[in-house]
Amino acid sequence: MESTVVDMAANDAAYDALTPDLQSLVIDQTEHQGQVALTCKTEHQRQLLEHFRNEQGYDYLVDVTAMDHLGMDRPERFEVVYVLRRIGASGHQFRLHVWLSEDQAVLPSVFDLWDSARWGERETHDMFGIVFQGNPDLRRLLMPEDYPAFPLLKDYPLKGAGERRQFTRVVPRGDQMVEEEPEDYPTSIGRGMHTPEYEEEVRRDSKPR
Amino acid sequence: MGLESLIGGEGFLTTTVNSIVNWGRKNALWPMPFGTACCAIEMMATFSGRYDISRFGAEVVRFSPRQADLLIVSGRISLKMMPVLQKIYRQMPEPKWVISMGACASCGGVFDTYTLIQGVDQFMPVDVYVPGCPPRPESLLDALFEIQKLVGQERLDSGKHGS
Repeated sequence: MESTVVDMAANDAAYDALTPDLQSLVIDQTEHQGQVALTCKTEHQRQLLEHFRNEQGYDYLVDVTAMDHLGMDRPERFEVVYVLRRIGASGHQFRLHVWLSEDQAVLPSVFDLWDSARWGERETHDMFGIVFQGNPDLRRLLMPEDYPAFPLLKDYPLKGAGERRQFTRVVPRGDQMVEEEPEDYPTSIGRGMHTPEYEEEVRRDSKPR
Repeated sequence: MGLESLIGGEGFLTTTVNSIVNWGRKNALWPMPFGTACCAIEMMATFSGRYDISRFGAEVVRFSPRQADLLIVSGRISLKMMPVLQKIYRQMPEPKWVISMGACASCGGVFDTYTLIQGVDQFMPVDVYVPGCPPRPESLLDALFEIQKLVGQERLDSGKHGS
């Protein structure tokens, strides 16, 4: 039976198997706890991924995701991450990180190389607003279709910009259902948390007795 | 034994229409489960043998809102789910009652984030709240008793029953 265990010792293999001119496109190479990460610039992403897929046989794109480095001292704001894996006897995995600028948050899609990229790119678009050019289906995946923002951006507030209060209140009146303005009940932790009454309560309760 | 002994030998009793309708309704509530999270597991336990909600006449679980008069919202309600919940509430015929089961349905629970409704009571009426994360089946049974009390207080000429 073929082993599918990830071969940690062979982790540098992906880089070592690159031709010298492709190696020069890799601007950084790090290793943390046996996990190798290669980094490249936006314009070389497609070229490197094509090489890993077609020449080195990385047949499984585990995930496509991204990070937002807003306000941190990094080359660009976004870092898109491709987790590549080779299934079979020589199986091992590594990540390709791609720096992506805020002004031009567009990358070529790789859905033609791996089918799983369709979903990964769609989710990354849903959460970060990064456009994967060529992906035929970049509709919202997790968020509602009319959601106005990309919630995993660091400058988007954790509690949203009021989207969760957007509904009308459905109330039965006689034999009809009518829609009213939403009511604010003090039952909610989230809604009652920062009222003066609540702050006072916390102050009172936290005094030693 | 039972009802016969109360009726006596004559075979009739006197009461008001209001009382007998309420008596019938509160002992035959048909719940519509709206289970979206771990509270639903406790709700299922309440419906099944060990806690056995059928002892109190509410075992006819309807997965069609058109046939139900008690909506049990048990679990987190997200932005995407709230319109669905409202639609289901609209589809229920009058009179209807709502239990908001657990911390998430009642106030968002620990999930104070962009995508989670901070209490379904903002957007639809709730009759009874059940605290807990998740509440035990006994708590849900207690909520059912509270609903039964509310049903018992209904008046047929009130707005709840339509025209």
